[in-house]
Amino acid sequence: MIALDASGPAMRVTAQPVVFVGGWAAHRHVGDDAILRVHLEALDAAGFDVEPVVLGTDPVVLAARFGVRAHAGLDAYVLDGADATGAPAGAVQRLGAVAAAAAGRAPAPADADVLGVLELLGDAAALIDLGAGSLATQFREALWVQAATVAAASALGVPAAIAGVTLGPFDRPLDAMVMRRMLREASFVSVRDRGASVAEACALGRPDALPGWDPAMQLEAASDTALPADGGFAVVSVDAASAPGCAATIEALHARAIPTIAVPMDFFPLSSDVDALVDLRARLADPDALRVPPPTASDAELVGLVGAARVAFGSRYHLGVFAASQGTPAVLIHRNDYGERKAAGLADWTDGVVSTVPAAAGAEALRDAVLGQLGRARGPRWAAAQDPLPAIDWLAVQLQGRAARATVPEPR
Amino acid sequence: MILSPLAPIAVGDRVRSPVVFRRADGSEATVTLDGPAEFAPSAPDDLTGPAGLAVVVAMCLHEDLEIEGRIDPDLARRLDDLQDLYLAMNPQLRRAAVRVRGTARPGTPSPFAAVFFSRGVDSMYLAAQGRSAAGPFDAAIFVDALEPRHDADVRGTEVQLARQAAALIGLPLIVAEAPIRPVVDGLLDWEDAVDAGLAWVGHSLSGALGRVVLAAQDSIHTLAPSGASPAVDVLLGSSRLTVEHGSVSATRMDKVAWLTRNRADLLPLLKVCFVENRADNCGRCWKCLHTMAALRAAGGLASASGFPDQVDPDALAALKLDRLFDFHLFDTIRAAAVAGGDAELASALADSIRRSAAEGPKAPDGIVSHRRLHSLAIIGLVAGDDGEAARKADAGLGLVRSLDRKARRHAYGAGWKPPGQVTAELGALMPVAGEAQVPAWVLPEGSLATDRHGPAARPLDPRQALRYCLSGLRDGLPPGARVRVAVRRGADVALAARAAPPAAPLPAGDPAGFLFSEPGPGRVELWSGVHPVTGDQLLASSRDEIASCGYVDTVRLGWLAARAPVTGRLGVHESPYVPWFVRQPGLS
Repeated sequence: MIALDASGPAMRVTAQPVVFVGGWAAHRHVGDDAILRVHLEALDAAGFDVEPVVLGTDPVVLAARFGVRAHAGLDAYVLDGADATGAPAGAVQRLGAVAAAAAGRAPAPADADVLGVLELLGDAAALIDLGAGSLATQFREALWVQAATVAAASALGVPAAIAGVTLGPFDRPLDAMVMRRMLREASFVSVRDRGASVAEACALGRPDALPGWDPAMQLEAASDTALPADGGFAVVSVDAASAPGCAATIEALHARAIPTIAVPMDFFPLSSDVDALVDLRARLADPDALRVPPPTASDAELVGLVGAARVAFGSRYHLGVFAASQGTPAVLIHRNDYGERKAAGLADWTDGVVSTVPAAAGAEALRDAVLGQLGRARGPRWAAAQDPLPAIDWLAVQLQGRAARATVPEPR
Repeated sequence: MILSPLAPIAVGDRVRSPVVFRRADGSEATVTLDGPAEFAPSAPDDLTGPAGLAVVVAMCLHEDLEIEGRIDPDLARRLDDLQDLYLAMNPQLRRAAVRVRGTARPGTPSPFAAVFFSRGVDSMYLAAQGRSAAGPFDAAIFVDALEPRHDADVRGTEVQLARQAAALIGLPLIVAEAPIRPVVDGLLDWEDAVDAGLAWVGHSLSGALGRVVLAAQDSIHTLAPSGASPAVDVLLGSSRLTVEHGSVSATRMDKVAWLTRNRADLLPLLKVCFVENRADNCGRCWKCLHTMAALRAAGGLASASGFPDQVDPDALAALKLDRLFDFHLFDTIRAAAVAGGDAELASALADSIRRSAAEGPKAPDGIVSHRRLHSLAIIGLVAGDDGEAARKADAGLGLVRSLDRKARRHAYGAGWKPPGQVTAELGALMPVAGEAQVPAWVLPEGSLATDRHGPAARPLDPRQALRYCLSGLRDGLPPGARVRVAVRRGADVALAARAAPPAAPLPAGDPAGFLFSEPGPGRVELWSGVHPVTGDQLLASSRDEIASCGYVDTVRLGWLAARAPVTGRLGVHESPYVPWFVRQPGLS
């Protein structure tokens, strides 16, 4: 599939863009990045004649991190003046304005980002919304930006997929409405659990949502990691709120001569996992019970590290995903409905390899759960071929359809 | 009337927006809408929402309207059209001069649309369709506190069941609280205010909704003058909110059949009954019965677990059809019953149609909907009375006095002749509260009460009782008759000593009509007195007439229109001998 790009000084042939949107920010978030990375790799492997373009808040950083073209998304326009709830006055109307402009029912807003996204989508073969994993009230600002992008694509006649996400919870009717519209406008929807997200999709008028594993299960472990592979250690990945509750578990493992290695997964400057883990280390009677290596490992190396561990625990969802993909017994902590939905959805696929525990149950409950998993046999390792990425399969069908349409002769 | 905004109150993630309706007589009602804060339009002095309803209320009251806030310019331009439409439906209303403090800045509409959702047949069908002519729905709106009979428990259950039904349909549910009815009750049939009321709710959510859709109760076959009409709804929108009336292509029978065929999972959640304080259906009222009939005809009654599992054909056959809408409704259900081979149901419905057509409509009592007025006129024309029934409704409800000798009392009818010998038609009550603002009820025993003067237990005064017995001996009757009168009066005294106090009117019930509270051209006084022993009520046009008969506690109830729509003869028709009167010397 090719398109003519006449914007340059000389006409040149480029591949049609496939646009990815999902709420990526300048900082690194291992789980969100893993979801995008596996899609980019799968797209590359499929050999379609298309060019991936990623939308985000900082296109320069994104382009550097993923090695693809990136473009500013609709974040700044839709969320202009966002208040503490993440739902700025007028955001609904701005969402509508983007859709109306895309449909040609109104002039486009005089905003460079909007104009750029509309132009990009106008040329695109497809839009794939990866949701950065979740579409929920918890991250409603990301939800709304993605909804505006899907609405624009839909109005432009560009097929859109929502792929591999957890849906909800939606604590506010307005968020549920935004999600419902998004689901209605997407030509394909897949979710990463077979329970709550499927029920949510049904309740929002999309009963055909396809359940499957988290896309990041596809991320393969680095083969050349220098980290110990003897299974004599545990890994922990935890956010600042959940970190203090992990101390008793780390000390119990230490008492059994099992050191714990910290795996930071979110590097947002204001709430970095690294800081949380350093604080956690300081709480321990023997700080050597927790090793906090410099956060330089690649995502694939982290998968390898989790795969080599005897047990993994913490509040970071993708620690659980990596553990499930490697068969490493794990315990996921959840502290609210949103976290519980994700954790339970993952655990449901794993036949006990991943278990869950609410933070409210206390540090001892976490410790007991982790020690229980310690005695458990490892699960099978994930084979990437067993569940190809649904969004890429869907894209293949879309591209074939377009190709077929393009070869139909014009009626005389 | 003056419409004033009060400051909105934020309560968690919701906002309460109070508005005051102040009438010319100084009475006022504050109505507070409550909804999600994210849906509220930003300007607190924006009275676009209640403006449409306020205009209609002012027209009923024959008052002008001052809006102490701003309203949307698009709506402001259409308020005259709205008044034209209501005047065309009901000439008894009066055009209101509307003064507005200013116009609001035109808003950008939200791309989201929602359908009002009560769980009734019409809204269940429309919501389950998922879209209207203008596009798909993004949410459903349940309006809480709209039904005055529902207590807190039932309201809670209603919200829960609405949520359940909306989830089955696949629509997020917005819950708004709107205790609007007190502003309207006593002035208009709710059907004639419902769309203006719901439009107010829609405007209160227009921060996040650009279109609200009201389910049509009519099909194209039954559209009639009504406040629940596409003709009204199109006038109630604004620059930021479209008020859309749902499609009128399907009849109610079509809707029930479609739900039964395609969404049987929703049938257990159907709710049509509003005559009782309950979240399911009584199975006995008019609306329940015809809905059950339609469900039975469609084969869905067994699945509709919110109703009794059987519909009584005799009860259906006994239903009296009053409106053209009713005749068409019954005929469509009858046709479905015939098609389904349900001869018993078809026969019951046919009986009701035949009997109702033969008997003609009931005389109007209380507040009459615009739809019913229209039906009365058309049915009257067809019956050859040249629209007499409708004109009678326009002329008011004749207050007829009759003498019931057997019961030893007078009885009164509002728009009809009560049992006994008619002795007067005292004037006419108004069917709706416009300038007439004193509600009046005809109590079960036949007396008249107002909100200011009701029947009260009156202790028997021994001296008055003795005078009553002895005065029988003085009446100009033959000696034997005088003795019989005295003995009978003695029995009256004995009965009065044991009698229970009279029943009071139910304030929640619709009044029979309205009295004027002030004198005016074309009005006659209405006085009431009480018999000192029997408690009989005597209504008359003058204080003297009452006093001359020996009645006491004389009070003026108000003024009637000087018309006699029931008998055609205003005033006293006959002055027969009344055995329990105590004639007062010097008075006649």
